[in-house]
Amino acid sequence: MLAAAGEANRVARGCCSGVYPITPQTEIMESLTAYPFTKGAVVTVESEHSAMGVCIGASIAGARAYTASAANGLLYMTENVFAAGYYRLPIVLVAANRTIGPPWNIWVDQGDSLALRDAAMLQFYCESHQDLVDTILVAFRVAEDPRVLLPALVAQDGFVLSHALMDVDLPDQTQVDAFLPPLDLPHRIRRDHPRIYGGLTWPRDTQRQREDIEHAMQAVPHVMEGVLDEFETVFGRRPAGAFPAACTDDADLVIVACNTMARTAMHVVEARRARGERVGLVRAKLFRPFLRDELVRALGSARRVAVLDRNHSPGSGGIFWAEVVASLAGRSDVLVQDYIVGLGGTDVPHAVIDAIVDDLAARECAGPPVFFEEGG
Amino acid sequence: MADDPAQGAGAVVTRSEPLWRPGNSACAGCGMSLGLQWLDQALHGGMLTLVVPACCAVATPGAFPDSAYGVPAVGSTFASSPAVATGVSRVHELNDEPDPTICWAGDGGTYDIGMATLSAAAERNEDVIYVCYDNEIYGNTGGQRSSATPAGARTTTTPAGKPEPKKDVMAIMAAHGVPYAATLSLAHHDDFMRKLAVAQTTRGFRFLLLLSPCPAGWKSEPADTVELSRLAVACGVFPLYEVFNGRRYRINARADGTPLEDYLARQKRFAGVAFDVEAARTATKEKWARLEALAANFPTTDVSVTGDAGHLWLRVLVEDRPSVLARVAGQVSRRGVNIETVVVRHLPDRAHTYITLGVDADEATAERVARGIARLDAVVDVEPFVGECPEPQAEQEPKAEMRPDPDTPPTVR
Repeated sequence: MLAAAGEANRVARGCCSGVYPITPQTEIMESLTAYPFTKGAVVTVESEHSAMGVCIGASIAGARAYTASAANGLLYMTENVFAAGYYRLPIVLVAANRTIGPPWNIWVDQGDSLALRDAAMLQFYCESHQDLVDTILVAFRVAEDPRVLLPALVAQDGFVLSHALMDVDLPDQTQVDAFLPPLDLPHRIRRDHPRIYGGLTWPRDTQRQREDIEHAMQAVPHVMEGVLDEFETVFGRRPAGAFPAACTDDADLVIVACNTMARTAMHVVEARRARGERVGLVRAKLFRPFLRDELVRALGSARRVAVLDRNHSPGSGGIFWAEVVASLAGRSDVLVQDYIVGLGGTDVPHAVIDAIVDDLAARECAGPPVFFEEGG
Repeated sequence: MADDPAQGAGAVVTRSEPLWRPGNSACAGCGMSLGLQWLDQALHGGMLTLVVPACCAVATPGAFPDSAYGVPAVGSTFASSPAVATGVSRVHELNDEPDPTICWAGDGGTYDIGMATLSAAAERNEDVIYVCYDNEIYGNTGGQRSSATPAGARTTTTPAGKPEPKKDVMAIMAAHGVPYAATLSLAHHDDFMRKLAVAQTTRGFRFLLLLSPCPAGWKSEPADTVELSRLAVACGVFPLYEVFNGRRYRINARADGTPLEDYLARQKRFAGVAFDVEAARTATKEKWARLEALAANFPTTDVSVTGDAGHLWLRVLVEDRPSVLARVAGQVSRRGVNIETVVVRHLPDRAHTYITLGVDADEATAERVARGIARLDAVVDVEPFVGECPEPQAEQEPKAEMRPDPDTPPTVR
C-alpha cells in the first residue's frame, strides 16, 4: 500500500523515500526498493535518522514520502520525526512494533512507537492486515488534508502481524488513484517564492506554532469522518474509526486494548457474553490525537475498565492507561485498572485476558499498574 | 500541479534577490557570511535550494517571519543536511528542475555529528554540492573544540590548547572517490569562482571545504578575516587543491615561505598556551609531502583512459579566452590524430568552457594527446574516456557541433 500510495502521486511531484532495514520491517523496505515506480526514488540510506531526513527533503520538495522502522530504529529516527511534525509534512511512517533494546529482543512491544507520542504526529494502531492496508491509505488522506498537514504513524505488531498470513482485499491502483489525490503541499519549496524552513523563532511565535499543531490535531476527527465516508464510497467497506467498540452498550466491564491483543480480547468477550456476562471491548486504534470524548462515549455504561498495556513507562505505568484515566477525570464511578502484559513479546493468550477480567471483577478499588502474566 | 506557470518545470529560474541579503546578524568579519556572498556571485543569479543544518547559517538569517536568504533554504536537524539534500535533489530530478541543491554546513555538522550522513551521501554519489564552511570550532554554541580544531588552539573546552591535530576531511572525502573535491579560500577569489564553476558543471557529489575565519572563536580582528585566509594558504596550513574522482590531485597554490608565526600571531586562540611551533611546522611539512606526492603525476601522466566501450573522447576544461580551442586542437593534430566531433559548452561563470573532442585514435595515443593538452596553461583539466558522448546534457544545449575540415581549425560559432 505504501507503493500504491507513492504510485498514486506519479501525476504530481512523485514519491521519494529513505529506507533502512531493521527486523521486523525489513521486508517493507525490500519491497519498496523493488517497486517499479513511474515517478519515484527509494534511497537506501545509512541510518533511520537519515531515512527520515530523506523523507523530509523529499516532502518539502513536494513529493509523497514514507518509510518504515521499528524499535531502536524508531528511537534513532526520533529527532527527525519531531522535525517532520514541526515542518508540517504529511509523511507516513509504518512501525512494526518491536521491543526496545538492550537487552536485544525482536518480539512485539508497543513501547517503541509510543515513545514518539509527543512528536507532532498522528498514531494509528492496527489489528489485522486488512486494517493495516486500509489505515495506511486513510493515514495519507488525513495527513495530507490542508486542515491537518502532520506526519502519521501506522503501527502493527511485529511478527504477530508483520509475519503472519491473512486474506486481504488489496485495492488496485485505479481505486487508490480515485481515493488518494495527487499531493499538493501548500508550503513546499517554490522557486518563485523562496522561504526558509526551520529558521529561528522567538518564544511567542513558537508557542503559537505549537498551538497551530494542536488545532490541526483537533481537526482530525472531523477530517477523518469525511475520509472514511469517501473510503467507503470507493472501496465498499469502512475502516474503523478512533475507538471501535464491541458489546459496550450494556457492558459493566470493558477491556481497552490495541493491535492484535484486541483480537484476542474479542474472543474472551464473546465467550463471556455467551455465558451471559456483560463484558465489552474498546479497541484503541487512534492514539494521537487521543479523542477523550470519543473514548468516554465508546466505554458506554462501563463501571470497570481494564486497560491492557503492551508497553511500560517506568515510574508511571502503562501509556494507554494514563490516557484512559485522563479521559475519565472526575468520574469516580468508574474503576480503571492498568494491566501491563505481553512485554518483550510475551504471549497474551485468552487465559491471561480471562484472568484479567476475573481480577478486575473482584476488585473493590483500582490499584497501581499491575505486571500481569500467565498463571499469576 | 505545475507551479511557476510562466517558467515551465524544466526551466532555469533566475532570481532578483541576492542569496544572502543585508540585515543578517552574522558577526563582523564572519567568514561564513562572506562565503555566502561569494557563493551567490558564483551562481550568477541562478536559482538553487540551500540545505543548512542547525548552525550559524540558520542562526544568523534572522527570526520568523524574516529571513536573509533570498532562495529557498531548509534548516535541517544538525546531522541531517546531506540526507535532507538527498530528498530535495531526488525530487528536483524527478521533476526535471535544474536547480542545484547546495548544503551549507559548518565543521561541526561536517566533521563530527554529520560525518556518517555525509559519508553515505558521498558514497551514493548524490547530486549535491556540499560546502563546509570550516571555522574550526563550534562557533554557534560559543566556541568549543571540534575535530576540525587545529592542534594547539584554545577553545572553551580545550583551555590549555587542543592536543590532537585537525581531522583531514579532504582525505576522507577523496577516499570516497567523489567526482570533485576542492578547498576554498576567502583570499583567492578567482580560484573560488573557478572551483564553483567546475562544481556546478559536474554531476554527482561535490565537496568543497572553505576555510572560514571566525573572529569570535579565533580571537582575531574582524578586519583580518581575508588576510588570515591569505596567510593560511601562504604559510601552508591550508593548501588550496582539488581532487577529481578521488584520484587526480591538483595543487592550486603553494606555500610561499611565509612563516607560520605570521598566521598564528594574528589569532589569540594560539596565545597563552604551550604551543609547539616546531611540531606544527613539521606537521605542515609532512602534510605537504603527502599532498605533493599525490599531485606529482597531475596532470601530465594521470590521464589514463576510463570507460567501457564505444568512442574515444577527451573532455577538456579550459579558461574561456581566445585561441584556446585552436591550441587544444593543435595538440591533437600534431600527433596526427583526426578530430571527429567537437562539442563546446560554456560554464555559467562565462570564464570557463568544456571542450569535448571525439578523436580517432587508439587509447595509448589518446593518452599522449591528453598529456600534451594538460600542459597548456589555459587548461584546467583533461579527462580521456571511452563511451557514449556525454553531451549535450539534458539541461544545456551545446554551443556548437561540427565536423572539422582538416584545413580549417575548428571555431566556435
